[in-house]
Amino acid sequence: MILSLAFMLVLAQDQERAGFPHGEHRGLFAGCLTCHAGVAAGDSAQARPAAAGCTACHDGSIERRVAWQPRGPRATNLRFDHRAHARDTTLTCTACHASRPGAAFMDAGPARPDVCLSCHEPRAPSHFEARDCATCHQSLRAATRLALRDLASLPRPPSHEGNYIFRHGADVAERPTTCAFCHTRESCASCHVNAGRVPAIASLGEDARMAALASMRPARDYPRPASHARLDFLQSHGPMANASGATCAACHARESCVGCHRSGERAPAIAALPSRGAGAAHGVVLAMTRPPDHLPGFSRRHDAAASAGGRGCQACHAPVFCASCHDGSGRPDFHAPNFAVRHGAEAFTQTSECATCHQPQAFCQSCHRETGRSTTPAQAGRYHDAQPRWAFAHGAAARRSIETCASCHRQSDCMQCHSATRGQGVSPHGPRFDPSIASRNPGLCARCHGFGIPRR
Amino acid sequence: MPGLRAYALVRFRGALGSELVWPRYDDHFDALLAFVELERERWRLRAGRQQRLSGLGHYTFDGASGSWRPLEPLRLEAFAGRGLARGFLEPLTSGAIRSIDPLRPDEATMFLGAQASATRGPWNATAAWQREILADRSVLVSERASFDARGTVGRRLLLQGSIDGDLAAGAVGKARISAGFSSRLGYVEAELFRYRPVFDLTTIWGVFSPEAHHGFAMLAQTGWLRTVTLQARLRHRWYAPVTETTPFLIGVSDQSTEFSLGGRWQRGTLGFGATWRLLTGYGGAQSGADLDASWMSDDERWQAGLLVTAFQEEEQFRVADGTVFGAGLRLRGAFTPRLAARGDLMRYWHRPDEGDAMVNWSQLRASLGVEWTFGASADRVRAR
Repeated sequence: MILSLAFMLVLAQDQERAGFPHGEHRGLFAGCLTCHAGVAAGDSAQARPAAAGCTACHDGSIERRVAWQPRGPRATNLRFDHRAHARDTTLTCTACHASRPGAAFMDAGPARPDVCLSCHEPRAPSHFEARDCATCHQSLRAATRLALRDLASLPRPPSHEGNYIFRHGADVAERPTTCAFCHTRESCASCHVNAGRVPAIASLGEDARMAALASMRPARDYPRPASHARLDFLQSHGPMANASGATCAACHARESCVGCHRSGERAPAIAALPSRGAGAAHGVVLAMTRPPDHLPGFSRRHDAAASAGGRGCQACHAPVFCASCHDGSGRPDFHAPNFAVRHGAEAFTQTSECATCHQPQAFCQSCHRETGRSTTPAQAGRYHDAQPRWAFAHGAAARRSIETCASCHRQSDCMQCHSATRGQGVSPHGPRFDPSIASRNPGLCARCHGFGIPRR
Repeated sequence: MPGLRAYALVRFRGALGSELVWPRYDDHFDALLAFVELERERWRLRAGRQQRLSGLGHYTFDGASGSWRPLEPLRLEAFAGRGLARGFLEPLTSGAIRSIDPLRPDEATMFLGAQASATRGPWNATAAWQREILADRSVLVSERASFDARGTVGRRLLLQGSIDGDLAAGAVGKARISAGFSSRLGYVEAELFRYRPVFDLTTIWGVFSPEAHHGFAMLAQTGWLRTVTLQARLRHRWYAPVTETTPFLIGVSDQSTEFSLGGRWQRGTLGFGATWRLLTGYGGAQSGADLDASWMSDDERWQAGLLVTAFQEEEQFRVADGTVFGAGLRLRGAFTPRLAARGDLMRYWHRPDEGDAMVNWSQLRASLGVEWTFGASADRVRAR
């Protein structure tokens, strides 16, 4: 019982919402004007039948009762006038209202646009490809009876599907009035950051409903043009922007660029872009992206890129960025927090190549002496604890990592044995030693050899 | 005036407790950078304290530099000025350096050089030359040159190579060639390298015939897991046999190996990481592990982290043996886009090996830093 009542309720609501089932009443009416008498005369009150007329049959005994109500005039931007067409005696109602060519009597519905075009613009391939919209339609801006809801429900032309957004510029140039039939300045300005600078957009009218419609759209996700997918686009987009900045400005605001070009507000190509303003299109949002060559380990292996980078690095980094690591300013991020405690092994093997940033000997000793790890004169065996005869066995270690020796020892420590004049004369030079170095800095050799620098 | 800018990065620092926290903490003020710059479409001039970053390393000097781009892919640079000791920001004649080594020369150094770089698409190459002489132009202090090149093939393959030479000593210095491949699965890199230390001619260390070592390194990092990253590194070195260069021998290995494994789990603003590493071979052995947990606020203004560490060293002929445990925390906050502070605190406990009478490393290390940015800074976090 309950299910039956629910079914009837749903059926009644469906009937109320549905259009009139013309086909089911085909045998009852001799012609269209029986119900739509006012159409030809332009009498809108008589253009649709009253619901009371249904009860002549749908009284519950002859036929079941129905809850059908005629629809009111449809909100539309059509300029159609039945009276003008009614004067053409060759035109019948079914010529326009038949649901399809050759349809049976009362198999009818709204007039089909292709039928309209068959007379008014017979060369148009389809409704949405017709050029003269004004014959049948008001522009949406002029159709003030259309509410926001009506505008939102309008069909999207098939041509606008797919990647039309990349082609629409050509259409605008070719037939701007067609676009202007549906679009107002707000339609374009919801995406185009530079809407105010584009004459084609500025010439469009304004409409509050369109502005509201644009504001209801979710944040615009700008599609990526094919040119931006090029492998070297990141490197090559600068010259492109300089050459055709106006094209970039369609989607990019100044703020789009400074997301990466953080010091580039004054770069000509960026400064020429419109700034993101209140109520204007947001433009493409670009977060600072890691360039493709900044692969893992780049923070330690960027010397070649940095030396060649020049302005490329500066696009994202200020000079202080480099100094923040390279001089160990207030951000010792390069070395781990506990690096100072355990750096000995890394320093010996030169994993971090300490001398790249630190003056050998001077920088290391400045700390080692403070912490008591550097002794002058050397106290044999105190630190090289595992080798009691270290003084006679240190040669291999010294050759392999003499920077480590210099991190604690003064030159004078070594000269105690290795100086020819002040020490024991033990030569520190290896077999491939080049004595010609004396010609470049004689004072260096004189430090151990005095005035008697050997020629060979 | 368009293109006229001034940059300065200055640092005030002091030790709030012990002065043994970090090298040079007794140097209370430093101007790390301070220069004015005039930039035009094709050239740029700088004057003041500035840095040179190249395959030859990191040098700071007080002077002038100019760069010129005569053609789009090519950039030429030249620079000259007073040289500063690396990591010191002071000339070699400063009292701080002379107190360490009285044998340093009395004259400061002049630092000059030139560089040519070319960039074409994803490829770039740089040739650099630089020279240091004493200010009285009497002798050469150092002369070095380098060549670097790097580039990507497609979106996946990164190739790079570099070599530098010590022209003063007539020796090849560091050299490296590497290839890295990235995909959705992750990133792998292989590298061949050579290392030879370079000393300037103001010290005797360079004439002690330092030996080069060679090696290879490999890195693999996962990329297919959304929240977890795993990483493995291997580095192996071969040292030249030195039996022919010194009569004093010691039974040490001619090879050393470093190996590390790490992982990181990151979900939203929470992250956990773990790393284990092992270094064996010539020079000592060290193993250690770190565990950390970190949190970052949604707007990235506030960060906090906990770190637990442990490592053990067994030296062959150097400082000390023992095991160290540590725990601490790091905090970082950006009060405004211009004012940020960071601090870290670590407590270490040293457990010396039995019978080891070396310096006890047990210590508390803490640092507090405040960063205040004036004017425009490209790297300042901007409000979105």
